[in-house]
Order: sequence, then structure tokens, then C-alpha cells
Amino acid sequence: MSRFGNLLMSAILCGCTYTLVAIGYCLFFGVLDVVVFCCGDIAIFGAFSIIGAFTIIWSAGVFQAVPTVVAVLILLIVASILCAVLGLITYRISVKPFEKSSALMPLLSTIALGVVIKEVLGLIFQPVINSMATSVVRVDDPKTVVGGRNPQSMPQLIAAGGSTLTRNLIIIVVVALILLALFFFLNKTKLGLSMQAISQNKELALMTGVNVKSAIRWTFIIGGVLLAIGGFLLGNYQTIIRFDGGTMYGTKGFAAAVVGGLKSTWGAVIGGMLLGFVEVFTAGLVPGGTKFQNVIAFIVVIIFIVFKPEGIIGEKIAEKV
Amino acid sequence: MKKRILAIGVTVCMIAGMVLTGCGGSGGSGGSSGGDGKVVKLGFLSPITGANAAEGAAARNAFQMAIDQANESGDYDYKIEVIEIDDKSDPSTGVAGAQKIVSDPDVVAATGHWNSGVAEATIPVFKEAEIPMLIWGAIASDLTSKDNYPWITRSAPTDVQENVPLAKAVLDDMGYEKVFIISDTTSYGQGNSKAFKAELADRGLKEVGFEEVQEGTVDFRAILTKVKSSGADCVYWGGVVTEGSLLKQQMYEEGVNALFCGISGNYSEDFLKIPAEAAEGALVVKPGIVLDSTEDGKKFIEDYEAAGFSEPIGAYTPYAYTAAEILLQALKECGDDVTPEAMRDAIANGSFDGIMGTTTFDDIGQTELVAAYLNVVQDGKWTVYDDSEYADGTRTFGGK
Amino acid sequence: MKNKKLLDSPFAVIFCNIVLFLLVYFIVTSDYVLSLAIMAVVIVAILLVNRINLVNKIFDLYVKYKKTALISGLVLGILYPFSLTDNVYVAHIATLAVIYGIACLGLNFQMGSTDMTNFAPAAFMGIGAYSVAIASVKMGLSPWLGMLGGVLLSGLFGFLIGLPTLKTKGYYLSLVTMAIQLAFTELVRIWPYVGGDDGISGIERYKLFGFELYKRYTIFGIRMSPQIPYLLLCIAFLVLCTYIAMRVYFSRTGIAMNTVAQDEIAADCLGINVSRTKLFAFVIGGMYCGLAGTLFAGLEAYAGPATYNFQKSLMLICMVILGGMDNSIGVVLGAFILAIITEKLRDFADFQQLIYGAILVIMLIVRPDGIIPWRVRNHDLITRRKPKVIEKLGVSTNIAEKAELKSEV
Repeated sequence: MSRFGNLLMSAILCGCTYTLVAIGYCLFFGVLDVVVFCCGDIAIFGAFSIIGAFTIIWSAGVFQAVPTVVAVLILLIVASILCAVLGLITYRISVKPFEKSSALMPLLSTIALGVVIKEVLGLIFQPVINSMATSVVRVDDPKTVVGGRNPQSMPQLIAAGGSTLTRNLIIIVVVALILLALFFFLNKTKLGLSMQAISQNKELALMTGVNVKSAIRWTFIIGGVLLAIGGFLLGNYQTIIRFDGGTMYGTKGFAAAVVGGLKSTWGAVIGGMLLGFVEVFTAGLVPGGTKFQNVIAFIVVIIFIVFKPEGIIGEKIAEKV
Repeated sequence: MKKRILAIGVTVCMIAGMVLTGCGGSGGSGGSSGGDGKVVKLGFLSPITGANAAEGAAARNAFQMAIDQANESGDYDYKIEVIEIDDKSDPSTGVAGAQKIVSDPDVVAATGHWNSGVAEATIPVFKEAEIPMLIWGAIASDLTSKDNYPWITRSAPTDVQENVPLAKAVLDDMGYEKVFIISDTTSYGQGNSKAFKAELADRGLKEVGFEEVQEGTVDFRAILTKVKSSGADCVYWGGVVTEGSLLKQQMYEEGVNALFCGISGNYSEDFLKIPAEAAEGALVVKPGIVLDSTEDGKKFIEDYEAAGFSEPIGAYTPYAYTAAEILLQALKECGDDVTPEAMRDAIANGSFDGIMGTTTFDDIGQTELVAAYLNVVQDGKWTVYDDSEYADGTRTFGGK
Repeated sequence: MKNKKLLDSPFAVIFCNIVLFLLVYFIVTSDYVLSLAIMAVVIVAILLVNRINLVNKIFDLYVKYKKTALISGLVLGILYPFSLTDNVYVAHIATLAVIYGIACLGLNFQMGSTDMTNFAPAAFMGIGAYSVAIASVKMGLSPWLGMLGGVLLSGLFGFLIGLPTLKTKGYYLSLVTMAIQLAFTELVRIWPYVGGDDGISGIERYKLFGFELYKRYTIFGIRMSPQIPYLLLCIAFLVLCTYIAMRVYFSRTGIAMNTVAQDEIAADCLGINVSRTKLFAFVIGGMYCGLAGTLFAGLEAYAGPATYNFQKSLMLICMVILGGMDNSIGVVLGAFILAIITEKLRDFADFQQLIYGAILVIMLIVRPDGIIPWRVRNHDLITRRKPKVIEKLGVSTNIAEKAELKSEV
């Protein structure tokens, strides 16, 4: 591939990883009008649960016994369930108690919860996974994990046998499929429509018989699943996952969401891609530009918030008096 | 009311979680001193949490292990205790920790720091309090100086010292000329890129490209397109293993045909987390000696593995152990009269046998033991370069 | 009634000051188990006592007997460092706590009074610290000039941040400041002039008329920690800052800030210049944080990017929330408690961050208003000095008094 083609591929992949976490932010913000800041940490939790589940089912001999695709699906389901539960916990202790107070409270509370998730992961990941893996061990070469604070190597599940190009294409296709599914869900199903209704006017939605409580709960479950898949793809793309990687990943994803417009799912896609392109092309074309990568991302955010706070896609909201 | 129940629930979960994970798991300080025995304390500072936690915690384990061994040996009339401080790689946390160490009247010496920035900030504290400090892991060359001597000494080589053997091997012996330097923006990376550039300049060469990345960067593909178009045959990585292993892997994936070389921060089991074929042929200089080659070194590895720590041995873990050995021998030399002043003189003037060889300090407190050797990844394992198939020509590095 | 009189006198204020002094002394000096226990008891006690509104009453007393409170506070403040004597670690924590107190007061102008969460207080501190570092190390000037420059620069920086944020509000404002904080750390890290990741070390310590403020002195045969004179300087600044903050709180601007926080449009209708009020909060808050930064640099003789990062900002925000927003005393208390807890938790290094996050999560659920919460303004106290005419007419403007009279009748 030409140099430009290489850059393009990196930019799209980078954009894809940002997009998934940005969509997480958009879903939560759309329905509840709050920024749930621990999205990055939930995604990392998802990646860690895949590593953990892989270690356990490998040691139990399940992974080798079934086709890889099935095994990967099992892993994804486990991680999705765990992340959905974590999403619900987030809602219960960091969002719901502040329904009536300033929107800032859930922001702070979710930041703090992100710290807690991260630290708990760093502390208990190794003892929990290793004790579970040794208790089910059935094969000759059981796997173990290293301490939660060490970088964890992600089992290369997508790339099994294929080249990096295949892997990259698979990642892009998976993200595209998720986006399509999400689009279908939001616009064609009853639950998705009711989520949109809540996002536009909560009181009115309540009046027209939308079950707001259950819709909110479902939002967090779906968000959790999306973030779990995001963590899985991120892990496959990066090959190594760090327990504290969620902060940067989350912040970048959030930046993407802001650039695209916090209320719009498509905005998140465009924002994520834009951020990915800006980062990769400054690093790839400007001599010595790599060190400005992060700074540029933040400056783009500042410019957008100040001059176009509603984002690229997003209606200008008239001030409510 | 509901809120309150929720809060209580959360609190109970937190506490239960902590108890389950074995609160105070480190339990290093060992409680009160036994009975009438005299106690001598040593301070140890390393990042146990934060970005460099893995390296810092492994070093702490090794240091604590050395002190435990000394206490069990019964060679000392007093009990030796360690005050462990987590500096979190943050200078101001480090300074507060250093203050905690120097405020204890039983402390006679301290050893610390993996991050040069943190060392930079705590050195004035130790100098002011007149407690000798031995640096075990921070490598910025200006930490040891005439001003700081004899209070500050260092048992690890500096970034300049480490880059000399690598430059000799890569530039002189192997004949690479087009070097692309990539480093991170930490002081470790900045120091390394500076040192290697100086080595290049000494040979009348200039790097074909230079990029700095943020700590925690995961995507080097954009830089690699630059490497390719610059026609480099060697990539010098001036950072640590976290990003280094990813860089190596992506070089393999993107088909960059060049040698990957770096210094000791990359020598870690973590580097081997990437697939074996991607890690193949990474050349890393490591200070010290081949641990497996000596009895003491083997014993250290066995002891460390037997202790069952969750962090594997890193590049600097033997240095933390060496620092403990130096302090212990200095304590012995002081005899019954253990004071910070006596320790200072004992450290600065003594010569110490340890797992890495015999350590002595020069006139600014820098160790004169700068043995270093090359390692290469072969079939997914770190192999000493001289024993590898690369040395006898069976395999060749990229870029040739 | 007699009992009430005794409570309503300057002595009560002095008594409260002494109790506070003893508490701080024991919390700082005792080892971590005892210290955490005392702290827990104090927090629970405050929360319980608050049920009968005692804290507010004490607070009113402080306002009423301002001078007594100030003088006795100053005397105890001067005594306090000497009670720490030789323990350098304790003296260090105490100094840190005081410096964080100043920064939190600054943050409180934005977060508490005007309800604009600023996620970049550490960036402001960094500007102050780097100014001192550059002035003393790079330019060879006196650190005092650096301090002056640092305070002015961070004020200017506050103005510059404030300008674009006038257009944005609520969420978006917080996001801009968050981005600014992250960009600040990264920029400092890649700027070789300020030492990159290494930072700048060897900053000259402050001197006052040739009297070194960071040096061991022996007074009455007792060898003091080197931080003691410096701690005195910091306490002086803290008292001054608290005083100014209180003055602002009770002034027209303070009320304007609260109005803006409540409802911007209503404030606009009332004729309050919203932009100017917001800018004022940013500038004065920035100056406070900058001052704290310059003091920080003087304490550690070092300025580096890792000291002024997003985590430090979060910690400062945590302090303000813990103490109680829009309440100068509460904010300083929050800063003290958290600064001391962080140090006392050192023995559980692995759990420190976790405990930190957990405190914030639990605190936000149980008591989002902080230990000493925002109080309803008691306007009687402000107009205590009755206009002469009214006094002559013998009309009481004190509503509380009236209510009391009524109930007695």
C-alpha cells in the first residue's frame, strides 16, 4: 500500500475506536442529558473481562474444543453481560441519585466512579481470574494473567491466521455493522423510538405512556454492550491493554462526541473519524508532529465548544427561559 | 432514605472488597519492632501505583526480599526495617514521602526513584536533612553531580553510559547508518534521544528522522509511514517497554524492514507479550551482567520466583536488589555506630560485592560498574546476543 | 437566657478557635489510625450537630465578632507552626494543607459562588509555579518577582479562559476547562525551555529582608523544622485570602455571583453584568490558584508537569465538594481534611486512589453539599450596622430579633 493508503487505514481504524466510545457518550447524553464520564473505563473493563474469560475458558479446555468463532462469541457475550451490569451499576450509584440536582454532579460522580473501576481492576483482576482459572483447569498448558496493573496482552482473536489487513477490515466491518444495527434499533424499534422520545422531551414522553424507567435502564445496558465490543476491538487493535488506559481513551472518545454533537449518533461517527484523521495525519505528515498529537485533539475540542458548541451535526438549541 | 441505604450499601461493598483483596497486602513495614532490639530503618521510594507501577513494585519486592534475607541471617545486631514510599511517579507525592522518611529519627539511609523527575524533586530534601540517598533506577545523567556528592550516589548507570555500548554495537560493529529516532516525551525518553544523537554526532552521522510520542501512545502506524519514506534501516526507540513492544509489533505488521533497538527500559517480560514473530530480532542493551551466568544471579532469580510476587522481574529489579546489598554492606561496615554520616562515608568510599558485580563510586557518586550486554529476542525469548543465532550469522536483523 | 448570652459573646468565638486549633494539631501529629479516627469522629459530629443548625450559628458568630475571630485566629495561626517543632514530615503536610486551602478558595469563586466548574485549577497553579521557576532559575530574578508575575499571569490566563467561556455555559464550560487542563500538561511536557518532563529544579527559596524562610532555626533551644517560617508565610497568605474571600462573599459582587449561579437570565434582568461577574470569578480565582502555585514551587523548589495535572485538579475539586461549596471556611476545612487524609493513607499505597474515588462517590450520594454546606444568606448580619437614621428612630431591622420578640410575646 502506498504511504497515503497506510495513513488512511490507520486514520479510519483510529476513528473507529474513538467512534464506539463516542457513541456510548451520545447514548447516555441523549437520554439523560448527563455526561457519563467513565465510558472509557467501562470499555477497558470490557477488554479485561475478555482477557479474563479467555484465560478461564482456555484453562478449562473449552476454547480449544469449539470453533474459534463460537468461542469468540462466548467471550463477547460474557463481556457484554458484565459491562451491561457495570452500566446499570453506574446508573444506580452515579446518575440516578442526582436526577434532580445540577448536571455537574453526575459528571463528577462518574469521574470518581471511573477511578474506582480502574483501581478495583488493578487490584483484584489477577487474584480473581487466576483462582478461577486454576479451579477449572483441565488442559496441560493452562494460562494465567499477570497483576492487574501490568500491561495485559490481549488474545489475538480476530487476527487468528489472517494478516493485519484482514484484521483491520474485520474491525471496520464490525463497527459498520454495529452502527447499522444501532441505527435500525433507534429508528425502527419501539424501545429505540421511546429512547429518542425521552431524549427530546422527557415529560412528554412520560405522558404519552413511554416507560421512561425501563427505557433508561435499557440505554445503560445497550451502552454497556457497545462499550464491551469497543473494548474488544480496541484490545485487538492495540494488542496490549493497560488498566489505566481508559482515561485517555475515554477523554478522546468524549472529545469526538463533543465535536460531532453530543446528541447525535451520526455526529459521534463523524467526530470520531475527524479526530482520528486529524491525529493520524498530523503525526504522519508533519515532521516532528507526533508530540503535538494529543494537544491538537484538545485544541480542536476547545475550538469546537467555543465556536460551535452544538457540534457538527446538532441543532442549535434555543435557550429555554 | 433510599439514598442512605444506597450509600451504606456502596460503603459496605467497598470495605468488603478491600478486605477480600487482602487489605494492606504489602504489609511491608512489619509492625512494631520486637522487644528491646534496636531498629535501623531504610527508606525505599518507588512508583507502586500509577503509570510505572509494574517496574516500581517489582523493585520494591526485590528490595524488601534482600532486607528480609538480611534480617533472617542474624548477621545484624539490630532489626532492619524498610519504610516503603509510593511516589506514584509524581514529584510532589515523592517529596512528601521523602519528608516522611527523613522525619523518622531511626532512618540512616534511603534509596529511591525510578523517575528522574521525581528524583530531581526529592534530592534537595535528602540533602537538607543530611540523609544519604542511593538512586537505584533513575538514569538522567545530571542527578549525580559535584553539588550532590557525597549525599547522593547512584548504583544504576546513566542514560549516557547505557547508550555507549548500544551505539558501538549498532553503528560501529553492525554498520547501520540511517537511524530513525523515536522516543517518548518523558525525561527518560528525552534523555535517551539526546544521548543517542550525541553518539551519532560523534561518528559524523545524523539521524534521518526524529519523532517524540506521548507516554501511552498505542498507534505508531502514522510514524511508521514516515520511517518507511525516510529510508531508515534502523529504528532507535528511546522509551520503555509499554510503547516499545507496540512499536516493534507494528513495525512487523506494517512490514518496516529495519532493526529495532533500544535500551534497558525495554528489557522486560512484558515485551514478549506481543506475538513471537513480531518481537523477533529486537535488540536491547541491558546494564549489568547476565544474571543467569553467576551463582548469585541465579539464586536471586530463584528466590524472587519462589517468593511468588505478582510482578515479574524487570530491567531494574536487580538494581533495586543491588542497592539493598550496598546498603546492607555499608551498614555492616559502620558496625555499632550507625548514623547517616557514617553511612554516607561508607557508601561513597566502599566497594560492594553484589549480584551484578563489584560496585564502587567515582568522585561524583556515580557507579563505576557499567557492565552492559546486548539482548535480542529470538523465538519469543530474550536471548543474550553473543549466544544467539544473530551473532553467528544464522539469522540477520532487518535493514541489512 | 444567660446561657445564650455566654454563647453569643466573643469568648465563644475564641473557644471555637481553640477547639479547632487543638483538633487540627492532633489530627496532623498523631499516627494514621488515631488521626483517621479523630477525623471520622469530627466529620460525624459536624454532620450531627448540623441537624440543630449549630454550625450556621457558629458561623454567624464568626461574622458578628469578626475582629475577635481574626485576631485570635491569627495568634493561634502563629502559634501553630511552633507546636510542630522538629517533625519535618508533619510540617510539610501542614504547609501543603495550607497551600491547598488557598487554591481551593480560588476554585470556590468559580465552583461555589458562580457555579461554573473549573476543571483547570491545577493549570493555574502550574502557571504560578512555573513563573517562579522561570524567574529564579532562568532569569536569575528574585522569586518574589516571580510570585508577583505568577499571580498576575494566572489572573490574565483566567481572563483569557473566561472570555471564550462567556459564550458557553454549564456543561460546555466545564469541558473547555477540562480540555485546557489536559492541553496545559501536554504543552509543558513538550516545551524544552521549561525543562520538558524533567521540570525545573533548584528554584531559589523565598527570603524576607535577608531572612531565609526555608531554613532550620533554633528558638529557645528547640530545633525547628525548616518549613516553619515558610508555613508562617503561607498561613499569613491563607488568612489574608480568607479575609478577602469573605469580603467578596458579603459584597455586592458576591451576591451578584450567587445570582448568576442561580439564574443567569434573571441576573441579567436584575441589571447584573453577567459577563463581568463571570470574568471576575475567573480572574480572582485564577489569581488565588496562581498564588498557591507560587507557594508550592517555593516549598518544593521544583516545578514539573506531573505535579500540575488533571489528577491534581480533580483533587482540588474533591476538596471543595467535601468541604462545602460557596463557604470559605468549609472549603479550607475540606482542603485540610483531604490533604491530611492523602498523607495519612500513605501506608495503604495500593488503595490510596481507590479510597479517594470512593470518598468522592459516597460523599456525593450522602451529602452533595459538603461537610459545611452552602448557607442561606443572612442579610441581617450584613446590615448589622444600621443606618444612623433608623437607629435614631429606634426601628429594628433585625428580622430575627423581631421574630424572637414575637415569640416571646
